[in-house]
Amino acid sequence: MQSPTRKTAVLGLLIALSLMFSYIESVIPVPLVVPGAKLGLPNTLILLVLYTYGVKEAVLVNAARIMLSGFLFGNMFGILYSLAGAAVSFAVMLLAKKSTLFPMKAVSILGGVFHNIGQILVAAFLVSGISVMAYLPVLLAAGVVTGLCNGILAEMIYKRGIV
Amino acid sequence: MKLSDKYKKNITWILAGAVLAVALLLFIISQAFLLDSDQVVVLVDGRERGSYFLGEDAEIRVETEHGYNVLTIRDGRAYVSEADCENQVCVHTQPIGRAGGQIVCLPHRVVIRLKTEGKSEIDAVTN
Repeated sequence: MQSPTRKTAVLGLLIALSLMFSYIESVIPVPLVVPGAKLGLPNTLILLVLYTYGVKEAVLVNAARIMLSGFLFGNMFGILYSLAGAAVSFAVMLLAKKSTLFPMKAVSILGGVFHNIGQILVAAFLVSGISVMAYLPVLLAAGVVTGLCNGILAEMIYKRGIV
Repeated sequence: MKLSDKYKKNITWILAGAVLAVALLLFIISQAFLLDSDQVVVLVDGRERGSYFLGEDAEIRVETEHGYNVLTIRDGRAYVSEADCENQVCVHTQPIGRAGGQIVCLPHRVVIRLKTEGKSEIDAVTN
């Protein structure tokens, strides 16, 4: 469908773009600050790559983004933390897409919600004493809102076939 | 076919609604288990470092092996006024008062929350 060269170039651009989104996210303090809550902007691109290209490419862009942003703006601890969230989120989105039960927007919501669940679980595991119950309602609601927004965005871009 | 189209159109909203409903339910449950405590406890790596009364204004410097957090108690509310962690999530977290809440600094493994003293079953399970 697309030439390999074009694909390589587009994926490179998307990695760069998702890296930028990661950076923007790291400098915007989310008003409802809870560990694990993020806007999830890069997920818009991950979703787009998953639908346009496939699993392999989406994993590649996701992993590259996390490693790059982790080493540039964070540390080893941060990398492991976001890898956990991203892995749970991606696995759920993949299953949801494969099941063909859900449209893109719904897949995005599931991704957002499970990203937050994954991160809070890792946080609870790493730092004993965190009350997960206190955060879960906020994280679930935040995941729905950010997931829906990102999903709408990703669907618009996907349908226009820009990528 | 018609049913399937309708399903596709609505499933997003059904899903969103369902998750929000679960969130609301969990919120109500957590509110039901609300503790009315007048002390906050500081945990470093799960171990209790100290507990402080919300009624007494204070400034406590919490030293950890990863860095420090300054816990400030003023007008019955506790918050982290200063920390040398890189993400500053703890500093941006809303103050906690008698109604509950917690402040977490993941990089320093610090948790600040209301003292429970085994009154909450939910907290006991998640620990």
